[in-house]
Amino acid sequence: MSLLDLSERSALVVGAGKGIGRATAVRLGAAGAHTVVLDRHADRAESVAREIREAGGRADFVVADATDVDSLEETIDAVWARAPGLDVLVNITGSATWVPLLEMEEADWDRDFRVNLDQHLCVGRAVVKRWEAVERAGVVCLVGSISGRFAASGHAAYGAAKAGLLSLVQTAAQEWWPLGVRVNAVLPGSVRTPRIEETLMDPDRPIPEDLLARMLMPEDVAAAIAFLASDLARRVTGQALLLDSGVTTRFPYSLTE
Amino acid sequence: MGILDLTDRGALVVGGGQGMGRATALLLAQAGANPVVLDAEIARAESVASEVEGFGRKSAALSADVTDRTQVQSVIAEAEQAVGGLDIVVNIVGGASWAPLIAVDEETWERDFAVNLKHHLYVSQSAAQNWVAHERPGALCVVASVSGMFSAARHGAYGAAKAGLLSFVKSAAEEWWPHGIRVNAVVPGTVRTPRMEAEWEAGTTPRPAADLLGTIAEPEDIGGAITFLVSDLARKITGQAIIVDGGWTTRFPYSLT
Repeated sequence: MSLLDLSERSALVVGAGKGIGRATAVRLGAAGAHTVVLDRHADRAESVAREIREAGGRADFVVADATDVDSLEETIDAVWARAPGLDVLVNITGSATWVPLLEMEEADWDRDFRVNLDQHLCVGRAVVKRWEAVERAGVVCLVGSISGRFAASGHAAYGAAKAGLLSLVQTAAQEWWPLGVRVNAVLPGSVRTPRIEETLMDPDRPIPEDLLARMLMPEDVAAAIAFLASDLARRVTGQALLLDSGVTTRFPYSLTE
Repeated sequence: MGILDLTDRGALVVGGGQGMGRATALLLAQAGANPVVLDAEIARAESVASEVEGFGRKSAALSADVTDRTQVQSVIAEAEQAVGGLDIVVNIVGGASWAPLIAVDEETWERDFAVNLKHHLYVSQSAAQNWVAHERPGALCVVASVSGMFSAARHGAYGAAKAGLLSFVKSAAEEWWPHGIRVNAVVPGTVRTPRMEAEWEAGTTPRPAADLLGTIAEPEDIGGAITFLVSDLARKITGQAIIVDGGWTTRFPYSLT
């Protein structure tokens, strides 16, 4: 019996089509969880589910836009049909609009809040209401960002929304503890997602060796999520786990030798 | 073995003879590691070493006063011998003296620093020097306390020492990252260990108020977080402190009508 065993559990990974989401779905599947892959893109959702099954795990997929409030109940119904009860909710979705504060428009702000904060609340509530009805002590893990803890220069709305997400994690953790529901976040620093890989290949903008060595692979984020979803973390709630190879705890000033 | 795999990793658990240390040694063993057990009392170390061997893993029972630097250096060398090299060093040792700041005497203050901070220097330095000399990566994990993050009313020396430990973790993490050495802390609130229960009974340590119930950790909760942090699942986590307290310290600070 493995220490980090999720074989009695089912997990929903929202935004599992690529990058961190895909790595998380694959990791949870490898830990034994029956994993439901949810993504907007049908081909990606199906591909990740197949990848989990080919590795010997159990997986299903649902194609849906988790940011669409009107279809959310239907989406969660579809998930429930494939994994009755569910035990673990992981929500990866998020994206940043890059625009300086003085040029940002209201629509930019609203969009980033909708995708990076509101959506996490809506999906979380939809699942936890169902858990409450069946007295299921589930686990929620949200992917936040370093940008929610420090200045989010050039992407202020994203930063503010991710900071809001940290507050939400604490509040939800307190309000839902009596239900047996745990809520945590992981805060990745710099992750080598496929999108980032492209910029790393640019010969005109070489990345310093040290920075490269500190970058995470999507699997590193997935591993932390798997820990938080497991019984090894059964008294960890309301927390935000920083995944950044120690970058943000470094002494803040450059020193001469 | 599953995704949390420490097969054949040599480990040392300082303070491994009971409570959190014992729980950690057993979890490390379940994950496949070979944990050497160090305790102030050899009988306790022997008992846990036996339990480890019951899991089919290698162990050894050692005894030392970790507030004595020479003893630490020598016992770490012994531990290395016993399991053919150390990859993981966990240090649980600590304990609080209860005295108000206005009256606490110098001897008590210094003892709490010796028992809660100074030995971490000895143990971590020794381990790190070996790793650097052999160009070998390593993982260190210590047990701090919420008393080092908040007020430590009536146990102020302990609080200051634990706060010092949290700073030490960050500094060591930064200095030793280039050598492949990771340093992290697990931060318990209240833990129901045999020693704590004895202290509550004897009245030497104030018992937690009733409304904490449900958030009080079992030794395995601390051990689980430690086991995760010293594993490859946490290979990009360093300089961090994971709070394991059922979210107690994230509560809204005021009672509301």
